Amino acid sequence: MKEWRGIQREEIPWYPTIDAEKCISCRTCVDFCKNDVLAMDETTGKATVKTPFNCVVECRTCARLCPAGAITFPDEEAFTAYLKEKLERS
Amino acid sequence: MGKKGFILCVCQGTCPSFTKMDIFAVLSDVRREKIFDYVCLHPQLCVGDGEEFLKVLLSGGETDKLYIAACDPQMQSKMFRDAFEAVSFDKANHIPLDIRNKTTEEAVAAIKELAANNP
Ligand code: SF4
Ligand code: SF4
Ligand code: SF4
Repeated sequence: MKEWRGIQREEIPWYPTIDAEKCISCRTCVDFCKNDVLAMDETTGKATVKTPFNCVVECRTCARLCPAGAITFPDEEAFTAYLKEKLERS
Repeated sequence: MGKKGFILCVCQGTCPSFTKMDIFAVLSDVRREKIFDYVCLHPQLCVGDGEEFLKVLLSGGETDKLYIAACDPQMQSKMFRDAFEAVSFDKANHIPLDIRNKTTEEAVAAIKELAANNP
């Protein structure tokens, strides 16, 4: 298991969520992210989250680049509060 | 004459694409070359406060050319477009470079080459 600032990465719920209904299969997200987080699902032809905990904590670039608005991340305020608490306790 | 600025953007430094390089060594080596009038580091230019940073940096009109070493050049253009437009910075003067997955030496060499090819 990898660590993020002393915390097990798997304990940090940060990764993209893809709405398959909105995804237009353009591959922008898969082509951009070099961290092997995302992949195209061969059967549905849509982008999927393959390795969620490879996602860089607080990165949102794929969501920003998605032309269909299909990618979302945890709420910024709530997540910031969660991280602060985790960091204080670690 | 307008200034040449350089920003290194590193996906918070925790992205695997940036772990092969020593971020501060890249900046120091680039400064030693005296290619740019100023250099700086930003953890994540493509989010809200990063955009704000670009606007503040460019609003005085002192920067003629802005070299940004970060991720894919086409993506950079998309992500920074609004900030540039907001302060009327001509996007043609944004010189992007992809330095993901490079070592310190490779990154410095690529930055030098970029500057030489885009004076
Ligand atoms: S948020 Fe960043 S690291 Fe995570 S999947 Fe998207 S581009 Fe990759
Ligand atoms: S960028 Fe958006 S629309 Fe394109 S493949 Fe990824 S999730 Fe689907
Ligand atoms: S601009 Fe590019 S290099 Fe910088 S944080 Fe965003 S995705 Fe990473």
